[in-house]
Amino acid sequence: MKFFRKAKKKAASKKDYNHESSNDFDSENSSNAYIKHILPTVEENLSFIGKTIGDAVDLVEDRHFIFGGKVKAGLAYIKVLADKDLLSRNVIEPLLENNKEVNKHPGEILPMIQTSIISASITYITDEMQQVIDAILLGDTALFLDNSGKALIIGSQKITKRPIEKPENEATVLGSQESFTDNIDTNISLILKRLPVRQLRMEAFTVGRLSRTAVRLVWLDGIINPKIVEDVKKRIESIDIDIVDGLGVLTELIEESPWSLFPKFKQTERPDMVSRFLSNGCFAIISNNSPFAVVAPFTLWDNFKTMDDYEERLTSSSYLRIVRYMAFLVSVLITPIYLSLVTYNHTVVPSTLAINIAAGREGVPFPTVLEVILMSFTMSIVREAGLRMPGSVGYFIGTLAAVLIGQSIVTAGYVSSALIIVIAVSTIAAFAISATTLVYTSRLLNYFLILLAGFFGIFGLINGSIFIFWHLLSLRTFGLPYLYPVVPFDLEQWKDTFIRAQFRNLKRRSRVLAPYNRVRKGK
Amino acid sequence: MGNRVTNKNGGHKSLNDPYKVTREQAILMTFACGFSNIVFTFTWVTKTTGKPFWIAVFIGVLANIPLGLWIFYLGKHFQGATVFDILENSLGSFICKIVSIFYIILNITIGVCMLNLFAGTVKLYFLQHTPLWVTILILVLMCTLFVKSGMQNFARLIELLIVLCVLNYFTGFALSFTREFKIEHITPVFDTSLPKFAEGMLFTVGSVADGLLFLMVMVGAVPDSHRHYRWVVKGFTYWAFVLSFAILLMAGDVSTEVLSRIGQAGIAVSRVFYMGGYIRGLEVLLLITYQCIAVVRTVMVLYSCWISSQKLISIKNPWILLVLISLMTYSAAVWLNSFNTAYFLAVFLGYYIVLPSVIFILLLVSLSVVIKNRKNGCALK
Repeated sequence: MKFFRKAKKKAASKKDYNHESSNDFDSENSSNAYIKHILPTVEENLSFIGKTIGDAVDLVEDRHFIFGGKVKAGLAYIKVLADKDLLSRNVIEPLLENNKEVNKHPGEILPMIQTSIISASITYITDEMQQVIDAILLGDTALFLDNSGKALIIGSQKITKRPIEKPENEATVLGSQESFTDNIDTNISLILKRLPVRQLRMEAFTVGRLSRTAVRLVWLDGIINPKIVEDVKKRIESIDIDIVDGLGVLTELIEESPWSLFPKFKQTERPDMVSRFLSNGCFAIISNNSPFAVVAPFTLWDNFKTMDDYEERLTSSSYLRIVRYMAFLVSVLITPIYLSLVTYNHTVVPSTLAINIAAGREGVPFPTVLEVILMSFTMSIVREAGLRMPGSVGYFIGTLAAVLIGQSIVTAGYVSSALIIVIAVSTIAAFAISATTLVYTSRLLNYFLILLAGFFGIFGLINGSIFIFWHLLSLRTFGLPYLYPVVPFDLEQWKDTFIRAQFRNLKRRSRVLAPYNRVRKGK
Repeated sequence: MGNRVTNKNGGHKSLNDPYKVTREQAILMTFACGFSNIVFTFTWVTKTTGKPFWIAVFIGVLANIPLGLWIFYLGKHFQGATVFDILENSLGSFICKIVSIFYIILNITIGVCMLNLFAGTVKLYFLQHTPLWVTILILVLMCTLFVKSGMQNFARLIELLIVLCVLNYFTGFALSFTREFKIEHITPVFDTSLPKFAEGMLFTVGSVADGLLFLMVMVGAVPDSHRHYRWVVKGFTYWAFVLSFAILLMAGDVSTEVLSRIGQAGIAVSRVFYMGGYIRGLEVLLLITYQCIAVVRTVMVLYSCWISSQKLISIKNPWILLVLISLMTYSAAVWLNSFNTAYFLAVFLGYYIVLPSVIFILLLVSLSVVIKNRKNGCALK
């Protein structure tokens, strides 16, 4: 107990230290930015920003005399981030061309410039220096006037977008061929295109002390359970970390049990998938620099749903969904079942098959359990090698592994041919699961059950399965039990769980996700 | 409005976690209360009663309903309280402690029987070279973990396992139905005397009554238990149907005479099933059902003991008590280390110990409620 208390204390002090260090970082930043408000003169402001941001990031400081040379203006922006064409065309040229003399106080000139002279879609006035620095670092431009005490921020971010492409990991035959990109604005537009309703709500967050990653929480107001939205907002706000590269870091920081093998967010590159989940009462999170969106609350069964399920005919989509479930079971269970039957319960195996297996194992130097573990692990290595290599090399590695290693290893008598078939079926079945995140889960579960079946046969396999059930039953995603609607039982939601019922029968939303707006379909 | 068991600070005191079970969970957990040693010892009923043994079992299970209702009715006066909360509140902690010790010993004995019966079966058919202590250790460790995770989690686990084991059992036996089942194995239905029939029935009542021990602590998690008496009725009725139908199928497959001579019940029976040259040895399939039953039963025993042990010792970390109870159960089970002894111990408990104990505890609690209400100046309504 003492040990645990000590560990807790240590963790607490470590947390404090981290917290302190985060404050140090802020204060370090603000050691230069101790000035809270905009300085009186253009020179003072530009020199302060120059010192704060530094020259290494290609800060540009332009000075112009406008309104007939009577007013001194200063522009500050980062060369590589700002759109210079937009600036010269819509800001600098109009400012210089305007020769009218003004007799207004400098503080009143900025609003006039904002409304009557320059033309930019995003402009706002601020008197906070920190806000100016943040805006410049994001690619915007700050305009200062002498003695105005304020700055005009002009949206001038140069956005390099990659075009909207076909989804690579969630390809469909009949569904939409659009996928998310790395740009958050593009991703928002893709969602808006599918849900052009006033109930669509978004809240912006900036996470990561260093990365300043832009994140949007998206939900449908009036459908989602408001408690879930409040909960996720709190969790995002509580994030205190230096770098958030993408949604992987973010989701791990906000999920309930990150050590679990099972994914608790649907990671999707399909905007239509996001809109469907939003309409069910889920929320989505999108972030800059991530070509995926994540959706939650998310149950185990959602892993087996694809957009084709809603585009294909009723019978086909239900059949395909059942195939995916079977594929998952086969990928997890076939090897341990083979192992336990061959090692412990020979009587169950039909005699002709038993003779075949025994003949195949003749001369194999390893016990079956070791044979299974080695081959499964080799398959994982081949898969990983193929995945990390560029396309053609990856294909070559796959072929090499299948033809050379697979065939040679049997010929040499290191592994039985029956086992190669079982391992191959298990590995291929894992790829038939629609959710890529569940593929790794199935592999790890497979190892776990192989070990138990190797030690205790069918008894170990059943125990392992009960243990996995217990683990699944103890998981929750934002209050939603992970096995819902099976446990807790909700027959209404079974209509879109193991099969997809007719759309005319999918009348009601989940009572957990959308308790106040359950009607999906009218009469 | 019933009394509420309050702690020293006047707040609501719930020894269980505040989680209330759902309707489905309450029904299925009552159903699982029937997962007693009777799943192995029903062959004793076959021996004593003869061909109508399945009817005796059916009636015997149903006869537990009044006792279940009695437990649920007690919840009217002390909402959200277990039987032990009521005892402590009404008769003081000393009597409560005495009853708790007796209750724990009884539960552990029942658990030890189940562990040995199941582990013995596994040893006989599946892991001949693995000693019993290993099999029992795995089961006890796993069940301790499940109990530690709280009632909410294991209630859900029980919900799932019951559905799985019932489906699995009948799928297995459905495969045998056309080839093995012979009507002459179970006819004539009534070929026994009334005393023998009554003996089988009474033995079943006593054996299934060990599930009521769990119901005594589960009642604390049932919202307004006295209003939901139907849940008890449904749970026991479903179990009566399922168990009697299952053993009827077994008798139809291998005959009552053979059934009365075997100990491992369903698993032993399933060894005779085969379909063509491909599917044989269905004991692998049936093991799933029996393993689910053993896990559910052990979880219930450990949980019951854990909750009542908190009346004995008040410590900061109750899970230490759970570990101690698991160790005691494991040690006793390893000490017994015999399928046969466990079988006859379960038969003895079913005949003479469990039912009288349950009735004694319930009478004591009811008496304490009457005394408490008289002291408070109100009569039981």
